[in-house]
Amino acid sequence: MKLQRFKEIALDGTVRQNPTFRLVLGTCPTLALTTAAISCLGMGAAVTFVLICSNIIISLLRNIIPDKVRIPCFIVIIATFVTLVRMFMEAFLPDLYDVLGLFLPLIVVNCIILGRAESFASHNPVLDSACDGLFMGLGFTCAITLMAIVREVLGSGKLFGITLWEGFSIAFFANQAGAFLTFALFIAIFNVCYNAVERKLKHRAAHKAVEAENKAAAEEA
Amino acid sequence: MEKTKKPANPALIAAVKAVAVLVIICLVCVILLALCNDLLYVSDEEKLAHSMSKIYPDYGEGDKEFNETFKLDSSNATNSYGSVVDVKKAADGAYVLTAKGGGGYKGTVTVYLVVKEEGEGSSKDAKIKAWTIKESDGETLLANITNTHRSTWYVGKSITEYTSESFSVDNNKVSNTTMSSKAINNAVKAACEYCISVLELVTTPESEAIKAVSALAEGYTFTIVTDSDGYEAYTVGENKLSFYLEGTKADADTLEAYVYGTDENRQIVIVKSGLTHDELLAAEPVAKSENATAEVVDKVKSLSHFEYVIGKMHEGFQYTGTAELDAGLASDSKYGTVNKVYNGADGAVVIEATGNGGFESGTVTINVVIGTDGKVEGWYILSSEKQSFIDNITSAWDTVSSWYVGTEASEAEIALGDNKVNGTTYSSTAINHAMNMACHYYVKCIAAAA
Repeated sequence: MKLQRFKEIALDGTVRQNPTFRLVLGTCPTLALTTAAISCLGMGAAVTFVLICSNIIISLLRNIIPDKVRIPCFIVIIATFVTLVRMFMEAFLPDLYDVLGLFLPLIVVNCIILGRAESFASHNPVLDSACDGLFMGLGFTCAITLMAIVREVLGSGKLFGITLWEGFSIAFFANQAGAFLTFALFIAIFNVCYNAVERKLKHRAAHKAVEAENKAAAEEA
Repeated sequence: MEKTKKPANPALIAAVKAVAVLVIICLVCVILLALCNDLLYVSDEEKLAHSMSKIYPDYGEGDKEFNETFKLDSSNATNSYGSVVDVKKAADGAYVLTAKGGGGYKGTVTVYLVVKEEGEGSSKDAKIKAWTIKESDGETLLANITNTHRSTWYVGKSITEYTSESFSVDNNKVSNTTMSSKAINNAVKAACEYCISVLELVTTPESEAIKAVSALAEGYTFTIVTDSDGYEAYTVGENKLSFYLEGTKADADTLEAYVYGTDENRQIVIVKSGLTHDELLAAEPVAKSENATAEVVDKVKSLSHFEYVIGKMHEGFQYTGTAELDAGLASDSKYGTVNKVYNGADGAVVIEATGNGGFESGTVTINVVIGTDGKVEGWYILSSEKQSFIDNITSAWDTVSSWYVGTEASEAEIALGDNKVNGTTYSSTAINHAMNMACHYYVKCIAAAA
């Protein structure tokens, strides 16, 4: 796999097609779990693992699975890995298992996983798909953890469970309305910054192209 | 002539291939999960050890002798709130009960409850030291119940607080997790009941009375029937009735137990339930304590519980016998049926009627007391075919008992009106139908004959 391709997949997963702030996928766990940063890290790790494994298997079987049954096959494969994650967490990380509760099995119907399986893994080689799974998962993890840090600090005065300011809490950020507002603000800020950077890069690229043209013209002359 | 081979249908081949691929993928996944389940299986002992390490480190390795020899008797482990599924003992002597409570979201919630005995003799008590959730039937939002709730709910309180009528299972609830909270309350209540009735961690006059009565009637499960006016009618000289209990046993008659006094002076008389006044006078008690005096036995025999209950609605009611039913008038497809008519000495009657239109097309059976003036003087529920939300009616009995009282039995149709409890419309309708049935029968048969 070429380095350029790797860079593209990495940038797509974490920034250009960030599943949370750009594609707005997987909003259910994003809104529900971002009251505590530590549980977001756990959820992010679980989603990343399922993304990588399911992308690898689906990519391996992409020429075997008929079009008619691709969605049921994808769901079976994704559900298997989610169940494995559940079993593992119940055995080795019971505290995290308790915290994630209902949202662990909901990973099966997380749009990020099915979306990437359908749009990327079923059309690309195994290594590319694995990398896509990794960086999409990282992008999701970073996004929800960032949101959780803000909500946890403002909502309960804690950070990763450690009390920063005793007795400080703005209940609004700990409840659903605060979740929506925080999410909306993050989407807005992320997209504003992304668009600004993209404009700058385009401008720079255009400037470089003009310079190169002028140089070529000067050399000809 | 040559036979031409039929070409294979490509659509059929594609369909078969699709199904085959799906089935193979499913099989492979199932096998993988089955293998991993064996490797990653978490036993109940491991779950208990993990939970105890977090909430009650004094559990240590547990009391090995007790934990290996204790066998749970399932017949006494279930009560109206839930069931106890396991009992372990901690290294420091505390009991760790695993209890399931009903009423949760999509099923039950199972909790661990740590209870430790305190004090001795008459001041013996048992307090809840810690608790936590083990698991739930359905996927829930139990993560909303945090360590704050684990350290404030129940902890430090006596188990008797949770077995008293004053503790409602609607207490201790978390927003968005109301049903699971209720199931947790039910599980804790079930565990506390077990601690008192089976493990005998707490001595209360009630538990001592149940124990003494149960010793006289083997195999029966007795519960205390509370009544605020103290059964004054049963007083014999200085001896007042302390408790009135009902005892049930599968495939056997229900019993009534009358307990006078407390401790060593306790006198107990046990009779069959549902006997007529004459039957009770003629029969010997099913059982009695050795010190039960003849006066106490005579008082119990002469005042059947039925007369006592009716006497609170129609003073001085004396049962004289059951009347023969008019089969043609005892049934009405609109309302239900009349099952029995009990005559009183002064002309008052008690009519047992079953009303249709209840929850899930079930019925509700009530007794209606109609006085000599043809007015309804009282009523009470005997049974409900489908155990629905009828508890909502019985729990609001202070208000509900005044429904229909003073109504003329001769009314053409007694309207439902306001005689209903929110959320229990069907059962309220069935009660209304039974009331109509009883009153119409009274007018057409009893009053007409008089």
